[in-house]
Parts: sequence; structure tokens; C-alpha cells
Amino acid sequence: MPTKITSKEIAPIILRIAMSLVFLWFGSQQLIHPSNWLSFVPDSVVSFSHLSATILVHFNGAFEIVFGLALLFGFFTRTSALLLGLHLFNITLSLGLSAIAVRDFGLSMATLAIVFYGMDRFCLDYRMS
Amino acid sequence: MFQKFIPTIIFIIVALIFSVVITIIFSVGPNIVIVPSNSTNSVILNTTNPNPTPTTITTPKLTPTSAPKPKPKPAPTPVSATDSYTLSQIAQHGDSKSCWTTVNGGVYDITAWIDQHPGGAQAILGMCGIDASSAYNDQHDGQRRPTDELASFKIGTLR
Repeated sequence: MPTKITSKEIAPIILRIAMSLVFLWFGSQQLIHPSNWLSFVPDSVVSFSHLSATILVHFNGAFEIVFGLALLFGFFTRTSALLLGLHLFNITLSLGLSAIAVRDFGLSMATLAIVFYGMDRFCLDYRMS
Repeated sequence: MFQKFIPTIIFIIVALIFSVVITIIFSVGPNIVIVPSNSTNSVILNTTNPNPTPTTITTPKLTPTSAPKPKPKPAPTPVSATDSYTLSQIAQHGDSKSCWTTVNGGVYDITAWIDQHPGGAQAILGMCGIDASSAYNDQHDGQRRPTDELASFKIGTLR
């Protein structure tokens, strides 16, 4: 196993860790302060799921925490990044054309970029392979 | 071919189970109240569950750290709660200065609630001056706390 890390190898590591921290922060905020996120839950989702908006915010936060941790440690890197990226892209579509939606579109594409790159040298996947 | 994806599928299922467990902990956990065993009413109550099931527990003697702080209630509107109003009367109070709404036959002056709503002021402003029953039911139907909050603003019924 090579010991030196080239500059090209650092890029996907930064991308993966930075994106996982984004999901972990937003996920934790949704778990701690769900009331701040209730207005983002579409009415159609509430009526379709028959669950309260607070529970949906909690589940969304838990989803982002669990898969964000997996992405942070590089465990099932591609799968975690794919689910988080698609999840965020779906949220982006529901927001319509706004500043938040444009930002989230960029973040979702950055997350999907990890899917195409796959694991880096600091991933658990790499260590286990 | 399919066997290649089995670990991935197992990972997704386990991760989703974790997510559900965390959701349950955060949805139910904050509403659990542990009462010392020397109390006569040792029960756990979920305040957001519309049909709470009391569960008796016994715990070691605990010293309550602090009593829950009572929420400041908005000043009562000088109108009798038995009054009845028409939709046109409610429509005259359709802005942030005077925000009346009707939900499921009740009429409410929710002006003071605009800046206090946890889900943001915009959601309340959208209810001012109109029959907001469907919007309210879609968001809060069956939830105990919003129902209690709304009831505290009741000024009458819809004619």
C-alpha cells in the first residue's frame, strides 16, 4: 500500500468529509430543533404518510445522521453518497426555484460526484477491501 | 449477480432501522416524564400522542431539578368565547395587525401567535382572515399540543 498521498488523492477525501459534515449538521439540527424545519415539510407528504410533520422531520434528520456517519467513515461510501445525494436532490425539486434550492442542487451534485469517484484511501471500504 | 448486492441491501435495511429507532427516541423521548417512586402518580405520559397510554414505573428516589416553566399566555381578547362570527367578519381581520381565523367551526384570534409559531410566522399569516380548517388539519390533525394552543385563542364560533 503506498504511503504518500498525492494532491489528487486529497480532493475526494475533502469532498467526502465536507459533505458528510454538512449532512451531520443539518441532521442534528432537525433532531434537536424540529420546529424550525416544520415549514419545509410539504403538506402532501404529511397527508400521504399519515404521520405528523415533527416525526417526518425527526426521521429525515435521523436518515441524514446515519448515512452521514457512514459517508464520514467511508462505510458503503457509494451507497451512502447515492442515497444522500438523491435524497437532497428530491428536496431540491420540492423547493422550486429559489436561492436555497440552487444551493441544495449544488450540494446534491457534489454528493453524487462521490458516487462516481467511489472510495478513497481513508475510507473503511478501502481498508476492508 | 444478485448476490453482489446483498451486503449493500443489508446495509441499507440496517441503516433505515437505525433511523427509525433514532426517530422514535427523539419523537417520544422528550415527552417522557419520570416521577419519583414516592409520588402517588408515577406515570409516563407522551404529551404529543393523542391517545396516550399511561405506564406505571417505579424509580429510585429522584429529586426534581426544576418545575416546568409555565408558558406565557397571550392577553385574552375582550370578546366572549360564546360569540359567533360570519366569514365576512373574519375576513376583516386578515393581516398581521389583527389575525382572525376559523378552524373546524371555531373562531380564533391568533394575532399574538404569529411571532410565536414554531413553524414560522408565514404559516400563520396564511391562515389570517380565512377558513383554515384544511391547512390546520393537514399539518396538526390529532396533535394534542397544537390543539391546546389553538384552543387558548378561541373567541367564538363560526355562524
